[in-house]
Amino acid sequence: MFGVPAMLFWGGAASIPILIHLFTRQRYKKVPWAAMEFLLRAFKKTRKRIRLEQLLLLLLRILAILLFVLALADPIMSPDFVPGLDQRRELVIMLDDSFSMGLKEPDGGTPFDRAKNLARKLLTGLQQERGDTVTIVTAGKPARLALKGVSDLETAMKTIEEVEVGAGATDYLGAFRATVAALDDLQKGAEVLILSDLQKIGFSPPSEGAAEGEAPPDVPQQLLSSLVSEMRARKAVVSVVAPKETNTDNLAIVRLEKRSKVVVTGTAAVVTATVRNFGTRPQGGIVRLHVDGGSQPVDFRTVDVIPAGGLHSVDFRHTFRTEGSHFVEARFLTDNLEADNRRALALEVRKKIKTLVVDGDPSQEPGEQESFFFEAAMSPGGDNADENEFDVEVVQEIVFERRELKDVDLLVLMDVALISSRRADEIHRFVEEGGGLLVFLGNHAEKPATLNQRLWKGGSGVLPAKILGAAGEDALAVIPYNISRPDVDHPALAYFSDPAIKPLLTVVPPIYRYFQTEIKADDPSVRILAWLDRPKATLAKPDPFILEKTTGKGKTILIASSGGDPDWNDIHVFPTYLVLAREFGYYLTRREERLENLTVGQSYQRVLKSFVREVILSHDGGQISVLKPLALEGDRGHELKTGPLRKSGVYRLDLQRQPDQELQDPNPIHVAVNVDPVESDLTRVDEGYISASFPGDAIKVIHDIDQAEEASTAARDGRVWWWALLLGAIVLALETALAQIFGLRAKGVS
Amino acid sequence: MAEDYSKYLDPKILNKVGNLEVKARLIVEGFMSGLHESPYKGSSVEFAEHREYVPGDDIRYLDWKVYAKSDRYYIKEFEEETNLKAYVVVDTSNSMTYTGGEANKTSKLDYAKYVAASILYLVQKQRDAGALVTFGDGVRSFLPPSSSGAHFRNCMKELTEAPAEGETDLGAIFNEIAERLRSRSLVIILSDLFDDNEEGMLRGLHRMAHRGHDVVVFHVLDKDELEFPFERMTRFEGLEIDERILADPRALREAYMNELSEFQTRMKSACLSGRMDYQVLDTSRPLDLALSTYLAQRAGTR
Repeated sequence: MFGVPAMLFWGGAASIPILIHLFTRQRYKKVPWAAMEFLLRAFKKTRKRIRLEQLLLLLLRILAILLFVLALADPIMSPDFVPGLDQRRELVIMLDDSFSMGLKEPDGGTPFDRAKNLARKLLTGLQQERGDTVTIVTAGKPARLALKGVSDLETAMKTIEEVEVGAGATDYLGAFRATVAALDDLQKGAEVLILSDLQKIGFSPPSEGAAEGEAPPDVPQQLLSSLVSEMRARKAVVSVVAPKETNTDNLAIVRLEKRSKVVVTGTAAVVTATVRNFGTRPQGGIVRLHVDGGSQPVDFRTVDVIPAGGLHSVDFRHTFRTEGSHFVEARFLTDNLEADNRRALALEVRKKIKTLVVDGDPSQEPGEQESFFFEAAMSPGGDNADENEFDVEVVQEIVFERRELKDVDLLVLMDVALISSRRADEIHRFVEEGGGLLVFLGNHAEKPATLNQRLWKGGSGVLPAKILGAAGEDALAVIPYNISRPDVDHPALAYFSDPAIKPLLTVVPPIYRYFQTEIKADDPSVRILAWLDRPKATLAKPDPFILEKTTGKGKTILIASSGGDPDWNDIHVFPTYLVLAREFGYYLTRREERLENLTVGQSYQRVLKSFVREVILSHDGGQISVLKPLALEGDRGHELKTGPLRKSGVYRLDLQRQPDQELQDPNPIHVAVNVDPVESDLTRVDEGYISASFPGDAIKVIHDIDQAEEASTAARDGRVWWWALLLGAIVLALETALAQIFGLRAKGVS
Repeated sequence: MAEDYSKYLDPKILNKVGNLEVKARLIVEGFMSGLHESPYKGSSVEFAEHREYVPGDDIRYLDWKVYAKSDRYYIKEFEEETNLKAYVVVDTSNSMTYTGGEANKTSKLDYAKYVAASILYLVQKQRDAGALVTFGDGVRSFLPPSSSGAHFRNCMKELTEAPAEGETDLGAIFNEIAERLRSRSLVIILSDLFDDNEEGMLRGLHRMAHRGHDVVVFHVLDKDELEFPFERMTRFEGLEIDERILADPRALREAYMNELSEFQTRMKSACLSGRMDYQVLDTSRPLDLALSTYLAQRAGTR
C-alpha cells in the first residue's frame, strides 16, 4: 500500500536515463581520425566490457529513480515486515452523537447504530497485551473527551455502549480540539477515526452569531482545517468513514415563539411554530400543540406542502388559567428524524398587568379627563376585550398618595404635579425593584419645581430629565411640531421600524406645546428615544421628546407633552397613541423569558428572590440532580445554576420550600431546551468536498467497516519511505562510485 | 633590443607567420638563440671572411689578432666543403592532415613541413646538401641534394605546395627511397607512421639503415592522438581508411592508449635494433626538439 499512490505516476521518470542514453547517442561529435587502426583494435577489445558497464550504470540510475519515486509514494508495509517497529496501536474513536445520527433509515437502523457497530469492531481488533490504547471523543455539542488513552478494552467497550444519540448539533470544532489535546499525551502515529454521518453543516458550521440564512463564514472551516493539521503534526492518521447514501429529506420545527408581548392569565396567548423543509422535495404534515407536557394536543394545524428549502409558520392560541412557569410544545409527526420534530417554549404566565394611572387633571365631564384616552387605549372593548393584558385602574392624586404600590406593575403619571416626598421615595423604590413608570406632562407641570425636586433630584431620581419650561403655542395658531428621529431600534418603538408605518409616528401626530428639558451630562442611564422638529421653521436646537431612564431593575419613560390634552397635542386622535401607550406598557413591564429557552448544551442560570435549600432538576419525569442555590453578596438573591443541559425537551426545576414559606419566585420553573436547527440540514459532504477542504489527503475517506479496519491497520503499518530513500541514496552512491571507477580506468589511472 | 626569435619555436605563433622560408629562418634563429654553441662549424680550412661575433659563436674561431688591433670580436669564417647529404622525407598522406577539427591548430602535416623547412634551412646554412622527398600514396616529389640557395627555395616551394592526399604504403615508399639513395646520407623521416602494414614499413626502414644511411624517424603525432582527451560521445571517422566508430571515448581511452603505446614501443625497439633514431614529435610542442635531434645526428655523422 502507498500513502500517496498518485506519486507512483512519477515512476515514468525511470525512463529518463534510457532517454538520455539514446539522446546522447544521437548527439555525437564527429571527429575525422587518423589513428583509426589503434582505435579499431581498442574498440574490438573493449566493446563487450563497455556495454556491460554502461548497462550496469543505466540499471543503477533507473533503480535509483524508482526508489526515490517509491519513497515519495510513501510505501506502507505490514509491521510484520518492518523489524523494530512499535506495533502498539493508539486508536482515537471520534463518535458523532449529534441528533442527526438518529435518523431512522428504511432498514430500521440509524447512522449511529452503524457507527457504534464499527466502534465495537475496531475495539475487538485491539490487543490489550500489546499495549493498545483507546481514546473516545464524542462529537455532538458539547463535544467531550469520554476516555483518554485507556488500555482496558472492557472499559472502552462500556463507554461506547453508554454513548447514546444526543440532542446537540455536530461540534467538530470541539471534538477536534479535544482530540488534539488528547494526542499530546499519546504516542506518535495515533489513528483518529471519525465515525459520523458527514453532515455538511458539521464541516462548515456557522460562526457564533451568524444569522439564519446567511452564508456561514469560512472561518470555522479554516479552524477545522488547522486543527486537522495539528493532528497531522502529531503524526496522527485521520480517517473518516463515509456513511452509506441515504435519503436526506427532513422537516423540522426550527422556531417556536410567542407573539404576545406578555402572556397573562385569562388572555389568549399566540404562539407561532415555524417548520422548515430541509429536503429536496416538497413535503407537508400536521403540527400539534401540547401544553405543560400534556399527552393530548390542545390544538393542531395542518402545514401545507412546503417547497424544498421553504419555511411555513402556523399560529396557535391558548389561554392559560394559572400564573407561573408554563411551557408549550409543538410536535410534528411523520418524519424520520425525531429530534427536530418537536420544539418547546417556556412561558412565564402572569396575572394581567396591573396598571395604575394617576390623573392629575380629572374632570367630571366624560372625555375631559387627562387619562381618558390612555385608559381607552389600555382597555379596549369589543371583540378583543378578553385578550387585553392590562388591568387599568385610574386614581386621582389624593387617592394615589395612600394607594399601595405592591401589586402595581405599571405606574402612569398623567399631568401630576403634587407628589409628597414620601410618595416620591416609594416611586423610586418601585422603579428600582423593577416597576415601570410612564410619565406624561401637562398644564400642572408648568410649575415643575416639585417634580424636579422630588422625581428628578438633580439627576439621581427616576425622571430622565429636569423639566424646564413649556415651549410652543396653542393649537390652531401655529405650525405644529412633529416627532422626529425616533430610535426605532429601541424595543418600545420597534413597531415603527417599518418604513411604511414610521410616518404614523413622525408625520401624522401634531404637537403644539411641549416641555423643554435638561439632561444631566454624560448620564449613561438616560436614552433619548425621539426628538421634536418643526417643518418649515427649523429649530435652532431640537429638543428631546421621549426620554428613558433606567433605575435599578426598572425603567421610566417620559413624554415631554400631555397624554390627552388637545391644547398640547393631538396624538390621541390617531392610532399612534394606541400603539405608543401599549408598547410602552409592554416594554416597561416586560420580564426576561429568554433565559428559560435554551439550546442543547447551554446551562441554565437564574437569580432566585427567595431562599431555598435545594432545587430538584428533572427531565421527562426523571430526576437528574439536586442543585443548591448560592447566596449572592449584598442580599441580591440566590444564584441557581445548572450544568450543560444535554437533552432536548423541557427541564423542570422544583424549588424545595419550607412549610409555610411564601416564595417570590415561580415554582416550578420550566426550562425549554431545544435542538440547534442547523443540525436539521442533513445535506452531506462528499469525498471531493473533504479532499478540497482538507488538502493533502489530510482526512482520508473510507467507505465501509472493512475499509476502516484496513485504514486502521494501514496507519499502524510501517511507513518505510525512508528505507526506500536510503536505498535510493545507496544505489546513487554506488552508481557514482562505479562511474568514477570506470571513468578513472578510462583516464588510464590504475 | 634584438627580437626574441625563440617564440617562433611555438607552432601556434609560427602559424601566423607568412611563407615557409621565413618560418624556417625564424625557427632556426629562435632555436639558435637558445644555444651556447653555434652550430655553424665548417670543417674546411679555407678561410673565407670575417664576420662580427654573435653570442653563441664558438670562441675557438675568434680572431684574436683582429681583436688586438681593433678591440672588436670577429669570427673567422671558412669556406666549407659539403660533406653531408641530408634527405628530408615528408609524409603528406591524408592522415597527416589531422587537426581534431580545431581552427588555427597546426596539423601534423604543417608541423612536419615546419620541421622539414627548418632542417633544410639549417642544412643550407651549414653548406651541406639538402634533399626533399614528399610522399602520399607514392613518392610525390624527389628533389636531389644540393646546397645552393636556388635549390633551397625550390624545396620550400615544393613543401609549401605539397598537397595532402592518398593512403600510404610506407614499406613500399621507404623501399623506393632506399633504392634511389646513392651515397651514404642522413635520412630524416617525418611521418605519423600510420600504416596497416607495420611489418613492411619496418622492413623499409631497416633496408635504408642497412644501406649505410643514418636514419632519423620523427614520429609526428597530434596531442589528441597522444592523449586521447575526448569526453563526449564521438563518431570517429577514418581519414585514410573507410571505418567509423561511434563510442563513448572515455570508455575506449585506456585500450587506445595501450595500443598506441605498444606501437611506439615496437617502433622504438625496431629503430634501436636498426641503429636508427626514433623521436616522437608532439605537434603542440615547440619545434626545437626536432632541430636538436637533427644536430645531434649531424654531429654524429661528422
